[in-house]
Amino acid sequence: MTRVATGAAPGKVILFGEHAVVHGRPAIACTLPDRGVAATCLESPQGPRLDVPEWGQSVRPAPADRTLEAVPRAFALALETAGLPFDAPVLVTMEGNLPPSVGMGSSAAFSVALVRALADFAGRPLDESALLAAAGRLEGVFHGDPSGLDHTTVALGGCVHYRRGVPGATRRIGLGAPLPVAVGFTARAGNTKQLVGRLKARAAAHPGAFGPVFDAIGALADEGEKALVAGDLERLGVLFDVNHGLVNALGVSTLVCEVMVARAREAGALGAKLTGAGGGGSIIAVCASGADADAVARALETLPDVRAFSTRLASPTG
Amino acid sequence: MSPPDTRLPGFYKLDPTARHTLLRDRFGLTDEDLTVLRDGGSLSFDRADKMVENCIGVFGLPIGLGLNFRVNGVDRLVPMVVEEPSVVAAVSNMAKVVRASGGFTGDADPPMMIGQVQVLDVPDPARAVRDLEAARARLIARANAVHPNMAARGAGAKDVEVRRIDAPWPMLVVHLIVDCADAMGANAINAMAEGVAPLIEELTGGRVRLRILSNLADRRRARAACRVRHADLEGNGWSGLEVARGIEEAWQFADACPYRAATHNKGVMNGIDAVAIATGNDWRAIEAGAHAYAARNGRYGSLTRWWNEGEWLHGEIELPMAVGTVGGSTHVHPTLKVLRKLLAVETAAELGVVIAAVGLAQNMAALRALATEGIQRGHMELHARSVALAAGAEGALVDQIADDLVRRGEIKLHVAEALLAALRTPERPE
Repeated sequence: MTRVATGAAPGKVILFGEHAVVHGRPAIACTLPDRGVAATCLESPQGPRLDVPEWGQSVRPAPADRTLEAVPRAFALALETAGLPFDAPVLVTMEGNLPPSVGMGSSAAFSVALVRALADFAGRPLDESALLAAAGRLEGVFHGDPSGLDHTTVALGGCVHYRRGVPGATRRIGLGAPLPVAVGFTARAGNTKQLVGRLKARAAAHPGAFGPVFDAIGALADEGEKALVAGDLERLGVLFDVNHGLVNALGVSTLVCEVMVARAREAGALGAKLTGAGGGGSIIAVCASGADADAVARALETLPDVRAFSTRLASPTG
Repeated sequence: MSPPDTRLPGFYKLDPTARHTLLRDRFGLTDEDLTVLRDGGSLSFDRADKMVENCIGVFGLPIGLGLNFRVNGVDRLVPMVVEEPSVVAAVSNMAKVVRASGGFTGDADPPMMIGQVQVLDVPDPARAVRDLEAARARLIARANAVHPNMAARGAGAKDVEVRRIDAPWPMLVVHLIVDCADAMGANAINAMAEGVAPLIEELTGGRVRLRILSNLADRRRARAACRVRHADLEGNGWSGLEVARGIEEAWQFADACPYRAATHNKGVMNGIDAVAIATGNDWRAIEAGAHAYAARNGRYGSLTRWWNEGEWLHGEIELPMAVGTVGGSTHVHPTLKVLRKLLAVETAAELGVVIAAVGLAQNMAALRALATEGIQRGHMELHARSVALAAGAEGALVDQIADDLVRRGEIKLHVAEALLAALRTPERPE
């Protein structure tokens, strides 16, 4: 049997603090238990090659000075991180079940899964800090100047408190109770880079208007952490609603996001908010039970161009 | 802390409260833990209601403590949940005999389980098999994406195998080989099997029907072995050699005859199921795997093997052991948390070996009894003890009265009371 090496990483949803995190405020994100990206490495003389059948990609690694293509560059960085040469006999195949470009961390999960699988293939598993550093470099290939929230959450797993540029602020939050949530998203992809850039320009031009909103969002992350630790779903719902109002004030919401949030609340969610960058848009709704979350997801799917799922966010065990 | 000695001589003579005191003082149980054990129904009605449908109550069973176990050089207290008398006493006795020769040894396979995907109406089965095999890496990755945390920790889907079934009905069966680490893994495997199904349909042009784990967990077997000096088997008027030969001949019967093998293996499972329940594991899954494995050669046979060499009786057992130390009900049931403290195993592999050792000891106890005085005598003795206790006997008198009752063949309360009264009369005739 050919040797098999594997690696995987979950997707994520932001619970509190999108956009404000880019501007230095704290944020909280949580990994999805049943959605992510995985990589399988097989030994092959045709290697190194990286196949991503869903993206129609089959690439060889290429360093940054030889290509502008993200996937070959990310592959080269991942090989380097794993201590493998550019002629390593490894064939990597990647699969995922995350909707792309809707704020669920698909590029971060791709990066972490790829690095993990190659490290497993090399027989040198990475410690947490090496993994975080490598994931950050790969995310940089895809996103230029990412906030770091995505790859940090995805690499650590579970519910994570994060503040850009303050490594000491990164910590796992133990959830007091599993969170039944519904997530709705639209197939129309948003452009995170564009949204973040536009907001940066506006915030710089109007610091007096945006500063207090970012502060209020940051304060909600701290409040949210308490509610998460206590497992207080009702309170989380209220905080989600308030956070959504503040994100709306930043001008990143869309008609479909507003409709999804309203529909989720009507369908019995305890609270709902935009999650991720906005633009095309995804929303997350917290519910009192798994059955309620199922009902909210079904209600969201009745909207045109909207897809939805329900899941249970929990601190990973075992 | 020095490793705890699990021999605890005289444990059976202590009253239940004194047993609790001993567990607190020597094995680190807290008063809170003891309350959980004492109250029997420590699983609340409310919690039970969230576990099953139409819940109307909580059912209690006794927890016995298997003593004297030493497995791979480590002493183990073995909690056993079982309603059948003499199971716990018998297994503890055999563990004591085995201990004299160093205890049990054993090992477990890596925790690989199988998830099955059934594919029907495949237009070109030979080609589909080739295409599935070529897409092995994709299928593994697709499965791992469904349960990313498992794979992130180094476990998860590791391989894919394709079985082609042509008769009586043509179908393909895709096996996902999943490393479950310290979990039993059923939920993860089922989710993975469902997750790869669409890709399998795409690759084969067929139609997927079932997507579910296999309880024939023959990649995840546990083994235990022991050897006993013949001299340590003598007793009740039987020489050690006679007992050892009796055990080997009893095993030969089971190995040759399915009617006997079923009963033989039932005895093995008396111990295995009791520990499985006490550790929150799915004992129906272990039962199913054990019996299917016992029939792997086309004829149902024994899960154990016994033979004699020189002065030694040797025994071994091997069976699928899909058990976990995390997940499932292990975090819901308060009693399980207390029992886990007593058993003190860390990994699923360690637990699997302990369970296999218990199965082997239980089998040895049954064969020894059957091959010598027969099973009824042992039962009678235990019954006589409880009658003697009911009559008010205490301390050494319990055994004395019980022996007398068995000898007379009349195990009745009024007889025990009369014997006790006679013993207590100071000028009783010799």
